[in-house]
Amino acid sequence: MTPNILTLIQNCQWFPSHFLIISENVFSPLLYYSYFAAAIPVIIIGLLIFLNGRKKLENRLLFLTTISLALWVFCALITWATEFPKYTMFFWALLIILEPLISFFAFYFSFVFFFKRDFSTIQKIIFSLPLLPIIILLPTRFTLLGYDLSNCDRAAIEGVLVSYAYITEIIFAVLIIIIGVIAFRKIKDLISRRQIVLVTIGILFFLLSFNLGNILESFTDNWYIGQYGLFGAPVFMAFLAYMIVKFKTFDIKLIGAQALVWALVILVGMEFLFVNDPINQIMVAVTLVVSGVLGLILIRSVKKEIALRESLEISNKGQENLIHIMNHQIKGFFGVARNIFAELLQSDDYGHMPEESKPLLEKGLESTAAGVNYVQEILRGSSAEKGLLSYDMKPIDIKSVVLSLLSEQKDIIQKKGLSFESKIVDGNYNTIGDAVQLKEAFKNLITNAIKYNDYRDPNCGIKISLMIKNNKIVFSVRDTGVGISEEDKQRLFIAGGMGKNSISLNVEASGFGLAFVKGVAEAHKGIVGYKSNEPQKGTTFYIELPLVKTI
Amino acid sequence: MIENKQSNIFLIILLLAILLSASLTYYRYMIKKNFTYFTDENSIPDKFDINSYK
Repeated sequence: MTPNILTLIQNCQWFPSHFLIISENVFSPLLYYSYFAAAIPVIIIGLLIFLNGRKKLENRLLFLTTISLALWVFCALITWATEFPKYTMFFWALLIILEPLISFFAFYFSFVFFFKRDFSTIQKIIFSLPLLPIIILLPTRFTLLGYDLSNCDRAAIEGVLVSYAYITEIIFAVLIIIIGVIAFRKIKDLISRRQIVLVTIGILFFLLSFNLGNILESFTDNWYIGQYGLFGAPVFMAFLAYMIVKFKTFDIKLIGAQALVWALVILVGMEFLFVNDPINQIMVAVTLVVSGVLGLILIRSVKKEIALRESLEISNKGQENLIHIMNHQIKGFFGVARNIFAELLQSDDYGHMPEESKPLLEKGLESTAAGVNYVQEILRGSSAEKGLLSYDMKPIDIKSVVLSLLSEQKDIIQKKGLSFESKIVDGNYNTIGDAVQLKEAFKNLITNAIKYNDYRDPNCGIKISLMIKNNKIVFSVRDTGVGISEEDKQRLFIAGGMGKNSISLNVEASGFGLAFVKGVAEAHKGIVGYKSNEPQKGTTFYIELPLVKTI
Repeated sequence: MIENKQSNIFLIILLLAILLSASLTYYRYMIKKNFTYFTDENSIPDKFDINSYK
């Protein structure tokens, strides 16, 4: 260094730096807040993801991206704080290689995340080639031409390689868009598609704001612009945190409450970087401690709730599987028994049955048939509630379905001693649906009306109607029963839901009938409902279906 | 599990290359202090001029 240079440096009166990054040379302490607010969440998320899956390539690549950014922040802070030109030159040069490296790792991560596979060897070479000139020419004048001592800004003079690095970053950003679009079109799974969109938008927002800030800095020599570009980083991390909470991406179990508390504690904690007044510092400390403690309490209670909910879900799932297995087995046994009784009654292959045994055999047949129907109802109701029932949807005429049902049910109703009335209003009842399942659903309402009627009333009966109202097909069954208690109303359409009253009126109630009806109605984009007949007795159940124009 | 061995080798080579380049840069600027001071605004070279690199 010549005496002239030394004199110029002394004239600038730069402050000494401590720990490389702390000095009064930094124009505003808010700069530290913006840099740390970007770097710390990035490091935390990157570490969290890496530690939860070290062996996974995408986790490692994301970690490398975040580490490169953290190194960039560290080097940038040194160039802001240092009073030594040699430090400025060295760390500025490192910034030149770190910026395209961040873009490269972001691109590599995006590819692996979207397509769940690594680059081939050729692809690795091709995509890393743009970095080669920067790596080779980093120590040369092509990167940094020299140190600008024409003012006291402590800036390096960038060479042509910097412009080349920016072009490389733009290319990687474009490549991310391209592979994002390709992946979105190729992958059909809805959840994967959402994650692709979130990662693409998040990464692009981060890279564009980060790179644009640096590019504008270089061309305008306004070195304050770049710090604003850093805010793209926590935005990207927020996208990742959302994906981790919602989709358990990277196989991390993080709950929203944890992410929120962490973010709050970091943002409040970093206020220490620019708050100088002792009273303000105490307030910040108190806020930090209170938020931290309350946050921990919140996380613990939310975790307990989640654990309870998950164990309930597992237990419910186990119960459902057991019900299905048992019912299939039981249905099988009943079915065999029913067939045996039917054969004995109807066929002479096993010898002629004595007349006195026939009532018993008929009773056996009736009972086992009822058993088959009972089990069938449970299976059907459970499947319909879960949306697992299959439907053969085609153009049908609801009127003919109802007429067919009424012809079967009329005798059954009248044999029970109930009066029977039906009313079918003229109209076009064409719609799209599964005639078999709809008939079963209508039949279920009629069967319930039979079971829950009040046989002590001499005027007990059932009224069935079919009409078109407000552009909807309405099938209703009105009974003269005792009505529905408040307790029963809560569980009416829930699979297995039975109140005390429904069991006392009908001990053979399965609790799955109305769940089946609801499932069928909803599968046909309709609804099932009920209303009291007050001031008269009983309840009217109805199914509403949309009218659909059929060709 | 995505193929790890090849990617590990590739990343190690890349990072070693960057480390080597950074070491040379460190040697040039921090040890040898081999860079030019531009004390006059008019003497600052144009980065797109090839003569600046001779």
